[in-house]
Amino acid sequence: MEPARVRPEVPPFWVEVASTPGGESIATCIPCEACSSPCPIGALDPGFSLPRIIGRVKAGRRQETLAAEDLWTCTRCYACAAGCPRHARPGEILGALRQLALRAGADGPGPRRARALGAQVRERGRIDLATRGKPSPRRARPAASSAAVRGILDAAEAS
Amino acid sequence: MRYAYFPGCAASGSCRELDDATRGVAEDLGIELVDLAGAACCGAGILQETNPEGALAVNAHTLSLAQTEGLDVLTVCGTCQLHLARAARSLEDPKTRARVNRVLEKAGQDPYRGGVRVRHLLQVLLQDVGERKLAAHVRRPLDGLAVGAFYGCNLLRDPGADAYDTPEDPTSIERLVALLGGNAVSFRARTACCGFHALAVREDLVVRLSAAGLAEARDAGATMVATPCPLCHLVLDARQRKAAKASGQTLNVPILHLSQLVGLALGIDPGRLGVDRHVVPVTPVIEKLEDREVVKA
Ligand code: SF4
Ligand code: SF4
Repeated sequence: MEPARVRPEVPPFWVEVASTPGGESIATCIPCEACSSPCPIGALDPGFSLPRIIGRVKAGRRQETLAAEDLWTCTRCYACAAGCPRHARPGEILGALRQLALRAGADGPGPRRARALGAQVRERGRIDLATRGKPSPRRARPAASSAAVRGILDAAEAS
Repeated sequence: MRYAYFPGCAASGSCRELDDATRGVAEDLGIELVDLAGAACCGAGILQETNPEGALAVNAHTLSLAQTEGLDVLTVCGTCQLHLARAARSLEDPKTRARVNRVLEKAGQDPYRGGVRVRHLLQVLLQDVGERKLAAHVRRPLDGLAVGAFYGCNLLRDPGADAYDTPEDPTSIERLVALLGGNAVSFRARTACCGFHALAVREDLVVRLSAAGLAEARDAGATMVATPCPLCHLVLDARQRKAAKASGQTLNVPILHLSQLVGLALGIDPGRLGVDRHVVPVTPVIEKLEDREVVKA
């Protein structure tokens, strides 16, 4: 016998993704395998598979999808869109998943870096890419008026 | 010619030479760059994930600053170009603009009214300056230089890229190099991602990716590579030794920012273009050019 439903119906995971900015096109995804061939990361790392990530979403495996590190191996190059026969935007779908992962409190090098860079923009108006071997001999240009940026970002979050 | 200049975070910080070179080129060509005091980061795709509505509002703010000046925006970064142009495109929808303007209003900022265009230096050089004028300003032709054209990915995803190029099979850098008197080298990986955004998570993959691209450029005959994106530069130049090591080959491919390449052809002093700030020495390129007389205008 069917047990009585005690919780209100939660929408399937893919619907949550489809209503997150960038995730809309998951509705048209079949899924197939076509988007994996243009992906530069998939070509180098057999552990990264775009259709597998999308498959997890379609199967409703929310927690596993949002905690997985592969969301952050994606380089946001959006090459994958060219492969899709359904005109979906798989790269943007991954962006939507990263948004949800951040909101769900995901941890690891990817989420930590995203949060740190987001905080830099909020605090200084810009990102400092301290990636060069030798430090700059010149003083960096002063940051954008960070109070204005902070005001805008906070107003957006509160809306 | 006047533009609201948006150097972006990389050219304002670790790639200061790109900013220096761009200002030098603009001055030489009579382009006035108006600084947007108060413009923030484009979000680089990251703010778009940590605070998507905030990223759109911050970019709307930047566009409204340009609007106040009555100017279009000029970028020198593939990623800035992509995110600002995408924001500008979404903000053409009146409903989205009204929603974002409510955020700006709450934050005490002026609203954005729409209509500002966002264009990369590459497009401005080819379309606004124009081939004739550009060619007339060349005082140190790049002849004999085999320049690999590396677009990277983000610039080509700009929703307006098809106004000056064919994103699937681009030729604009090659056309520019030819105008400067150089020998443009095309290769398949020129539209590939440099891997920048995966650096924090999988640097091992990123260096393999860039090693493959650089080896392809070299095998196609390029003795140097020019890129319109400072993030590509940070991978291709600053991590080239790691790329060489990971792939077990010597690379030694000098990487020039597009602005530096143009600056060299215009006869600007290499020191002013900041070529000494790179990790992979640009000296072989400079030496080749220094043999050549700078043609006085
Ligand atoms: S955006 Fe991500 S998933 Fe798409 S091709 Fe690029 S690395 Fe692969
Ligand atoms: S996004 Fe497109 S190419 Fe990728 S699995 Fe879905 S339908 Fe196939």
